[in-house]
Amino acid sequence: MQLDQGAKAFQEEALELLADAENVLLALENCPQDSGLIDRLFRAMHTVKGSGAMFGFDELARFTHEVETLLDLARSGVVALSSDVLTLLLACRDHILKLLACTGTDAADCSASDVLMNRLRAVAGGNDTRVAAAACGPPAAADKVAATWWVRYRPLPGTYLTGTDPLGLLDELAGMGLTRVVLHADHLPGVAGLDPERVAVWWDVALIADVGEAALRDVFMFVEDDHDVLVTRLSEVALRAADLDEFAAILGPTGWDETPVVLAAMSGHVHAVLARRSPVEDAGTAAAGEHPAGVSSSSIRVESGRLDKLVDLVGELVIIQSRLQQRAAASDDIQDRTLAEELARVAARLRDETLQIRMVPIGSIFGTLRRLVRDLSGELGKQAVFETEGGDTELDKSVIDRLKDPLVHILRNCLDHGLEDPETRLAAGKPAAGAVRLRASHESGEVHIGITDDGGGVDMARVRQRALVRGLLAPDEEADEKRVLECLFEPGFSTASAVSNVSGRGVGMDVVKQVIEGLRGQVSLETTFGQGTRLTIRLPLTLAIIDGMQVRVGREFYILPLSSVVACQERTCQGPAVPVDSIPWRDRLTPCVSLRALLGVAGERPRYERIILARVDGEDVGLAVDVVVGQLQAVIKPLSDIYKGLDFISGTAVNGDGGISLILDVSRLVRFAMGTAAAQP
Amino acid sequence: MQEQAAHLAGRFLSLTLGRELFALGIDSVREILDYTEVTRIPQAPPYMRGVVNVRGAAVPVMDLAQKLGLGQVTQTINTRIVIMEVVRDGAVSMVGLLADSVKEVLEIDPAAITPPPAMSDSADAACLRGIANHEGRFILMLDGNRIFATDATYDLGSMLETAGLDAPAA
Repeated sequence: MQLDQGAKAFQEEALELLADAENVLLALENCPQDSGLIDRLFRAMHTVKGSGAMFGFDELARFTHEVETLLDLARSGVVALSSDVLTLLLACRDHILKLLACTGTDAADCSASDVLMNRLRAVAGGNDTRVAAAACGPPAAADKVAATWWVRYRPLPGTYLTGTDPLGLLDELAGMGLTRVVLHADHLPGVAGLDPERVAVWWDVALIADVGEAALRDVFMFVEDDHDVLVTRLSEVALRAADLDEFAAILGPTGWDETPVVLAAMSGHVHAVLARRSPVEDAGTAAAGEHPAGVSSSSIRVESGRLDKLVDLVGELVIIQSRLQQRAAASDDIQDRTLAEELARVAARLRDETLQIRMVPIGSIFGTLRRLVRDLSGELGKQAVFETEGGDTELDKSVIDRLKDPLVHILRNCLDHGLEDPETRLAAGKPAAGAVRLRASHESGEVHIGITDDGGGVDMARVRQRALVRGLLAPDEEADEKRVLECLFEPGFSTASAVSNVSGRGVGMDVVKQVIEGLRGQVSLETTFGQGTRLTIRLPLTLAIIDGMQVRVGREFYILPLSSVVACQERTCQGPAVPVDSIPWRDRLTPCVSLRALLGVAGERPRYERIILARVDGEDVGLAVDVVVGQLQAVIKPLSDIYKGLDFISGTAVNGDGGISLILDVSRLVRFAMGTAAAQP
Repeated sequence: MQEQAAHLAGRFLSLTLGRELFALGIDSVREILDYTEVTRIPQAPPYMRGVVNVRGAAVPVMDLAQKLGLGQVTQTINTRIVIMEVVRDGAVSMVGLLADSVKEVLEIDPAAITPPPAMSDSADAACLRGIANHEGRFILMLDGNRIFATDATYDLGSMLETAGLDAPAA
């Protein structure tokens, strides 16, 4: 029992560490030299390995050990984290995730581990020789701190005759750290005049290594006297691989004789890099939005079920408090009323604080999405840059959990249908790499998430044609752009002519719409053909509370979401109610649903009916009720899944008197009403 | 812990629907409420009376008599709502059963429970764990989880008649 709990706690911790590892790996892609990130990754793997072994995850521990070994090499700068290595590490991270699910040893898993382990060893082993070479070299000078160096090497034309291979020397330099080599072949004679026994070229090497000047000079020990070798320390600290590329670009067009000028340019550049590095570093981390501001800030991990219970209890408290307040308001005792008011204040704050606990920054899922874009673009042979903004925008945890799949779908669509392949993009005058942007923000009490791509956009003519074939549009219907785009969200719609394993099966956008609507949100699409697509999701801040309008029909209370209410009207009426009739509204005949008739409410229809005009899918619809009670903020309680067939009731709320109001999902209710009306002519 | 569970296994809450005596395992009973107003849920099956507020949660209430094909529970001073915990699709949820009255907690020896009569339609008897003979009276032992597992109604009325188990007419 004890062990099981420990193992469970380990699994939870490891899941968190692995999620972080993924983010770090993706961040490393941009700055492979960031030792802070590599350290973090190493520590994560070390913890996973150690705790895993303790709780009997033997295969996991065995495998993670190998990953740790490679990371250790990366940490000491021996292995450069190239894109390929990062891809391998990402695959390993996924494999660890898989191993985490089982304590036992599964043969398939083991062989998968072995394949990956061999690849890890190949990467690590390929560098083992270099380690040896560096270690066997002459003892390095006292300073073992990594620094950035610039080496200029011009061998004597007759070098080959002395038995020295300049390339061998360059290889030795490469073994010391990260290098960028620039070949200067400007004095190379034509093929006719080429003497294969003479060296006519020279090199510039930009190098990041933890060796001293002496060690570098030792490489050229036997040739130094005759050959031209210049060793310059550019910076006391290790810069990044990207900086080496910049150095190489500077060095490229220079000649041997310009050395002093070049040196000035180089050191100027180093200063510039270092100056902008420190602030940029912070901004870069913040913009990535991956790690919440204080990684080490004090926090407690709580099972989400316990939070839910807390939210439930606070909900109960708020209900009791509001009942108490109603009673106190009717009382003459001033002290009772004061107490009730104070309780109301505290209860409201308690509720807000409690709901706040459930809020999670949306940036917590950006890592997964970034990974998806990376993997998919590789798979599809496309180039994509994924940019995120507003990672600190907070949403209810349950909303974020349910939002993940739709976002994955949307990004798949962006990459598969939206972005063109690099050639097409270049031909269209766009950069080869497409840009996919995800931007989250708070706007007027809602959360907006925009996903933009600069791909080909939606081909309206094709969508229209497809919609006609599928019967989603009537042949004589004069559909505007908005109407046509709505067809994309219909079940079974897909314009992709070939079904790929990424998208094109026609499941997707309809499901996306369904999920978003289930979260009481809305989704819309804008597109410019040839220039890109913008998809906007609008969501309420929380699922726990709704701003609603309470209405009464007979003796039953219902709540309509305030966000869909447009206006109120009234009418005199006679005779029994019919489920759907029509009313004049804004010079148009608008359908009107009678809640009394539709929901079978007992009792007589009153002589005056109130009609609430609600906006459903861009159209106004009237809802006839007996009485409008008023606006309220209601704590939503889900309706038991015993009633799962009734999709037009989105939840329940407890009234001040202990009774229950049903919260209606207006768009589903109207769909249900139209269905009923169509079935009964 | 285990001892306690075993102890509970033999204890049952007895309740009535019309003239019939039923029993529910006490371990699944959470509380017993006096009848309060039930909020109707539109478009639900007739045996689902609606929901009732149990300390802030909307708990569904089922008319047990209607579900079992024994008429309908009418509100009297004895009407009770038995709040139970049932397991549906692996999750525990709270549901209420409307009964004509709730009697007492009985100790019934599990050995005294016999399977439902074989001659009856098995689908109709599926909601029963068995029938116990307790102090000269037949008690129908209900299976709480089974009752809520299906949307269909049972027809215990005809089963009782064919089995001759119907309580003697008053």
